Amino acid sequence: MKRFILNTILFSVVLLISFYVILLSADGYSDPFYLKFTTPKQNNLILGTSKAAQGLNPYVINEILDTEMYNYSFSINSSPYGIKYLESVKRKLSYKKVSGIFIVSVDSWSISSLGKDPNDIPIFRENNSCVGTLDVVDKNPNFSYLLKFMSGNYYKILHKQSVAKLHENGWLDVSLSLDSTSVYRRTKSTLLGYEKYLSTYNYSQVRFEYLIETIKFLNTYGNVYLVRLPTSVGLMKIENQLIPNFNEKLKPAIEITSGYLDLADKNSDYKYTDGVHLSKNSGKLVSEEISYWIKNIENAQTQNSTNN
Amino acid sequence: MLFNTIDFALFLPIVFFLYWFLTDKNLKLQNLLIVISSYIFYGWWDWRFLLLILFSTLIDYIIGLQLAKQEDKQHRKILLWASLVVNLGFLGFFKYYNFFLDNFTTAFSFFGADIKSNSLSIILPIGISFYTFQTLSYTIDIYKKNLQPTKDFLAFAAFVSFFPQLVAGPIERASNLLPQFYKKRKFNYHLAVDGMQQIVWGLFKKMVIADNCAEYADVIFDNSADYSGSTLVLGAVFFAFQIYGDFSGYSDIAIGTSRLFGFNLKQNFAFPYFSRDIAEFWRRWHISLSTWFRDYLYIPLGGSRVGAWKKVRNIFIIFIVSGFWHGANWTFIVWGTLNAVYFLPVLLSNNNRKNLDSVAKGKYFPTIKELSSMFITFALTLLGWIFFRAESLQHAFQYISEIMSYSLFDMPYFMGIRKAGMVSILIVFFLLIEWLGREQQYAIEKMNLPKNKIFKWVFYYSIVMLIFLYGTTSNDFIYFQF
Repeated sequence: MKRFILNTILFSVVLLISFYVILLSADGYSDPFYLKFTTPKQNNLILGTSKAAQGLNPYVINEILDTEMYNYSFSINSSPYGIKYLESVKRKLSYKKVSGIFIVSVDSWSISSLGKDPNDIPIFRENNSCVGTLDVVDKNPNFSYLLKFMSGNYYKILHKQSVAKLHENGWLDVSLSLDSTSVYRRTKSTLLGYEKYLSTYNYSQVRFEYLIETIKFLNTYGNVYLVRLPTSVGLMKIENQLIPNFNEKLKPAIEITSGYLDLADKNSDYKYTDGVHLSKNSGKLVSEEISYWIKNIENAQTQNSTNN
Repeated sequence: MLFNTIDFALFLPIVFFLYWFLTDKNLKLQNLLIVISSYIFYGWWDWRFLLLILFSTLIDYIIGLQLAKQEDKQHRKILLWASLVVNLGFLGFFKYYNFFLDNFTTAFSFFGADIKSNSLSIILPIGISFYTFQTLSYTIDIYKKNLQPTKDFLAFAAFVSFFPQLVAGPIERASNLLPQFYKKRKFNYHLAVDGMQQIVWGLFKKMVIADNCAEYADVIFDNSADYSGSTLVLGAVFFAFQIYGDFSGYSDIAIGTSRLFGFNLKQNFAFPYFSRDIAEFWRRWHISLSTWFRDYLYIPLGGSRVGAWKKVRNIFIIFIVSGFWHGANWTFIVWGTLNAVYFLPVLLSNNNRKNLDSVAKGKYFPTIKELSSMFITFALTLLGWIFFRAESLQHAFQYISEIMSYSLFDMPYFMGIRKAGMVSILIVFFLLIEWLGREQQYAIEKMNLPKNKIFKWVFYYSIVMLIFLYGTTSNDFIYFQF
């Protein structure tokens, strides 16, 4: 018995040390969200779903606005607007600055819910996600995340290669082939999925109120800029079916921000990897456009305050 | 409680220590600990259904004792029927009530009768089919005077609820397992090490092979209308490995866990995908259920010592009942029927006991003939699995008709095909280990590694690391639903 227990303990200790060492080497290739929970609290944030996570590039924005943006966007399932995302944003904010810049990206999905009652908070889809459950969002290494949300994917930690790399500034850098056949195939499959969503998603008043709540909270620490990112014409049709008068509905939120930029008019100017997400180059262009738009507003504000 | 969870990883060592250090001096106390642990294990999922197990235990314990006292044939029959009605009654209500109701309603509606049915939202108690069959075998064996009833209620309760095999088998016979509760168990180092090895291999099968295959099998089966015939074939292959890894993995963990407590359970899977004909497959797949049906249904019906037509009838009966045992859906019944159709030519040509040994015994490689026989048998089971996995008969037929189309020659494509390549490598590794260990109780029982202990440790370390790196922890075992 003694021999059995000793051998079991010895074997377990060796294994636990190995697990620990492997988990310690998790990085941006290992998981599309992990680093968002290991980096320090931030002054300037980009919020939204995966469209923003991939499409809004902090490197570009930082250069134009001379700041340090952090992309704290996740996905359609993890970060639609709601109490859980707001709480997570509150945890990620440093509270050191009152002149921060916050880019809040919004689309039909981020203010919609699954199911018959889209306002039933206890069944919101993000409740059990990393955004909904992690209390600590700035600890490195973040074992809570690794153990709860990466199980089944630890091999990725060792592979060190993936089509998606999460940068330290939260930008999800996705390198997918952009040849027309691949894009067509991905777009067809993704849009088919979104068409299916259409029958299960409904506009949520509660989510919209939380969007307003989030903007109000961020207003205390800087300027909030609301944006609607461009997307493929096919997806836009589906989004318009989900919330027909999107901009009209958004008005109460727009009124409390420093500005609203709707890029939906320019949908066909950009390229998408799968009909939903901007390609890397198009993401740079969109980030540039948004940055200059913000710069102009900020300059005008500075001008006004100087004049006053 | 699931074997592949942190809960069980904590539960097992606690019970192990209490069992060998606190209660080892007293057999009754040790059996009591097994009963309590087993009830906690089961109640972790839903404590309300513990009453069902307790009730079944009481009924069969009392009926067993009464059967031993009673010599009158008529009375003995009544007692047997009482046990059958109670046990199968529970099973029938929880598992088949809605199925029969829906089918009766459909049938009567077809003939113009307007029937309003009241289907109930019934939760199926996990493992009910397994422990029901285990307790039934006890009563039937006593009725047939093949077994003496036990007067030790604690031992009987432990036999019915023994946690390693309570919810998904192996379905143990009282003649094998019950006597083990009468004797004092002694800790045996080699048995315990063997148990640990089998647990590790079971976890590998479940968490690495089954759960990863499940990811693709689910995607392909759930969206089968969108995929080509070649992709659908891959979906069926993934499902074949999912169900094998899942169920035989559970059996390995159950047998291994039992060994840690000094018990020996019977082998439940004997490398079925290396079978050369369908009869061999059924001698190697879910052995405890196949032998249960053989002993309590097939042989009482006359088995194969009857005329040709009765043989055919008997084969259809056991395969259809076996299909129905798996679930209240026509897909399972067709799966059973299909296997009966496969089995008949082998039986009627007296070739059903042709391949009793392991394939290529004592050799590294099979002959071309053996390889092609294995391939054909696997292809036949694959067709059966499509019915087993499909949501409905219509779904299964659509799935098969797409496979039969020209799209069978397209390049397979589905979301996540890159990771699927890696999973395929793991399947090849798994098959290789299974092939090398096919003459043993489980694949890694006696690896032909160099005598040096370090090689052994490195091998087991590698298997656990593969579980850690590629395994998932969230999926239920498929056979819980049966």
